Amino acid sequence: MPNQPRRTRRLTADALWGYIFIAPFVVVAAVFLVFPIGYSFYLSLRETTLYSSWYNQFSDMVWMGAGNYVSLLTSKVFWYSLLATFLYAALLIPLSLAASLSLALVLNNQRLPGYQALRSAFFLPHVFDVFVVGIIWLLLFNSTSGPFASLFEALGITWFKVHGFLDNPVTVLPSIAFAMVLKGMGFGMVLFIVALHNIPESIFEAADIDGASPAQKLFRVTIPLLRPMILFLVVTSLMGVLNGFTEFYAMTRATGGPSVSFLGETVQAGRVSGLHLYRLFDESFYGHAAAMSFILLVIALLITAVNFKLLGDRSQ
Amino acid sequence: MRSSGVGRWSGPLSERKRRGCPDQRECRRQPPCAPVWQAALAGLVRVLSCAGFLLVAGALAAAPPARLTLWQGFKFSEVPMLRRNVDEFVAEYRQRTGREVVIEIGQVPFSDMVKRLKSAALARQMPDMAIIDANSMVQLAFGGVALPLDTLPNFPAASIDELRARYVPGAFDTNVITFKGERHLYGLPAQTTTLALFWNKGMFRAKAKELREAGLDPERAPRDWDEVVRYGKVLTEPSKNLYGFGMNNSFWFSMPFYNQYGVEIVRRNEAGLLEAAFRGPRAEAAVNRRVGLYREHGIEGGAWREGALDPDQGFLNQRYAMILVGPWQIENFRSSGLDFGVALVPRVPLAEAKALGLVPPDADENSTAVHALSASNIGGQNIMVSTSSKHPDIALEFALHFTSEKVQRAWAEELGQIPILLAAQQNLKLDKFPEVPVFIEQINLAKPLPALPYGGVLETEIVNPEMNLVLQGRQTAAQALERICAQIERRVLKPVNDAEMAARAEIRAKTPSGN
Repeated sequence: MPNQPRRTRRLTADALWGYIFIAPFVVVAAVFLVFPIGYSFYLSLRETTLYSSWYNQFSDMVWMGAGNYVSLLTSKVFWYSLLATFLYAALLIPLSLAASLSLALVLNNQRLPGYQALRSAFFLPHVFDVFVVGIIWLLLFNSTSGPFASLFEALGITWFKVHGFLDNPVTVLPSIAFAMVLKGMGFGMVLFIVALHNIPESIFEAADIDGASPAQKLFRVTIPLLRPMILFLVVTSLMGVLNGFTEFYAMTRATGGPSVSFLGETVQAGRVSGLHLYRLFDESFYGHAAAMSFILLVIALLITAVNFKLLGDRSQ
Repeated sequence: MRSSGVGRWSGPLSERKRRGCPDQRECRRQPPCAPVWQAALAGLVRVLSCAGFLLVAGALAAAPPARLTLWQGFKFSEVPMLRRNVDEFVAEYRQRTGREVVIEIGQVPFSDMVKRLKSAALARQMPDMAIIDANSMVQLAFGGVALPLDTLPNFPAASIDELRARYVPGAFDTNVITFKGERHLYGLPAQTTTLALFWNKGMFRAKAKELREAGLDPERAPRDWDEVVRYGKVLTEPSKNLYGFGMNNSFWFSMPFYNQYGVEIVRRNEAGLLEAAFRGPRAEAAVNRRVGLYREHGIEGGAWREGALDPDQGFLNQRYAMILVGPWQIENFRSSGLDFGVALVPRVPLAEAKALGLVPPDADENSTAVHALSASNIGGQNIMVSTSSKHPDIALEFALHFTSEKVQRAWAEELGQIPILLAAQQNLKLDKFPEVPVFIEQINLAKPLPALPYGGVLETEIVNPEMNLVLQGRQTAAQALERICAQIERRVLKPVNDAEMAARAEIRAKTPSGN
């Protein structure tokens, strides 16, 4: 094998060029991704004190070790924030999927007059800023003068007029989920329409020949074939819910909404993990906030791993 | 001085002898008989000295001006007045000291000021001065960015208390902070506010007949909380979304109730350490009085809820007939064509005040003690000097100029502000702002929030959520107060007390033994 040393040299040179080409991206990633993550972890092991100098806030922190993690994991407010997040996810994701899929099935019918305009109209809220949408919904849900409370009152239901939508611990999460479903369903609709287009027509023709009813075609053919898209939307929505903050900030005026008693501790009903993290950061508890972000990262990684497993099994 | 000069001219005796002076005494009185080259050299030295002096003087004259930055979060309508004050100060300072000063004004949103200052401190870009929320002052002092003004050589009084006598006491007190066992003045009040009762005259007039039938005068505001309930019951019509009263659930907005009932939030114990004091019959009575307006009497429109029509908007929309708000809303309400009046915050009813021991048993409606029951709260802004300022003395002078009588009078007469200097509260021309005298009377009955670090935690994380539960009817006042006290102790006071104990131990360690 006389050529082998020469080939190795050529490979090494190729590899070198490869490294040179990716070097700028590695540097950028190291500076803006790896270092902040590492530094955040370092911060999660420290905490500011009452006398931490504002000139050296991050270097003037005291060593806590795992103290911040222990403190969080023994905090009822933290556990409530996780519970609220998963409750919100349980409300938002199925509703969002159902609404998106329904819209996609209806607007996939190209014989429907104005279907393109309707698609645009339903997609439009997705491009608006979450904060702006949240403020609009805050006005719509106003219990004193909002249209929803008045509508229910006109229908003889005065409960919302008295207790409100965002003012009540029972309804605050469903109300926010409802607003976000309406905002996000246009995006899901577009993805489902694309997925529907990818289903071969021959499968539906075969179902027709077999005498399948429309409902059977939907539940036995369409939905099973849309499962990869459904799983994709579930994964991305879960990540979105774990990072959910702006809608809660806007619609509860940054407080988390009405109070509720949870295992003897008073917490705000709409205090999801993203909002709790923000409050910790806002009150300058940087160590706790960093520790919480790592706990959320672990949860997000676990959820992603489970979903990848499901997606992987399905594709095989 | 003169004799030494003669001696210098006379030179040593041997030299005079050598020059052949006939009379040595006479020679002492004569200028030296120096050679020409020496005279020329001396002349050259003189010329050079003069030139040097002129150069130094010129350099001093061309020295760059002292540059200071001032961050403020005033309303845009107030900024021109601030610019005028800055220009006046700069001119006056130049005339007095011959030195040029430049003060650059930076506009920062009021609600973002503390966050921006934190970032600025980290980036070593702190302004020399900042006008900040009075309740945030303690954070800046503990964070080491606010300079103790009483340590500056040009501090204008012999003591903090001497200076305090010139200002609205409550507003001044928001600047006096005990830090590591030392009490210092970290700023001066720049603008002060308080809550008073705003009442919608139109809504009162619309129910004039019913109010008269109930024995109430529709042409005036209620004076105590029992009257508020009586007025409110006539004015409230839930079917039309009309309510007698609208209130905010925030701790700061609730402070008039606690101040009127003589409730302390925290106090120092015998050991000099802080302890929670927000409990007891008076505190419970204050909470029940406030909550009762909504739950018991139904005259409050639910404005305390986050998702409801807030008090200001509800007052503007003529949904709430009475609210507690500050002077910052006057212009807004007036420009909306609202017919409204301003009165002192309704006080604790006399009988209840006597039962709780808030006034002497023989006090009557006209006594000073009863008048003082209309206590409100203190807000506003303070001017602080940064510890990184290169010109803290000039910054202090500007702060004193800004709080001077002339400037404060102008702010009151042209912008309707409450003067923070007591002398400036006298003989004001307030034709444009007839409501201001009520606010001046109210501010002098007001008390500030306790100066505690983690003030944000106290309000948003501790008191507001617990009070929300009371307003929902899910816990009693006593339960809420116990939970609040427990959390104040654990989350707010413990770090302060621990730090104070450490500071005391440090002082003891430094003190020589035997003392």
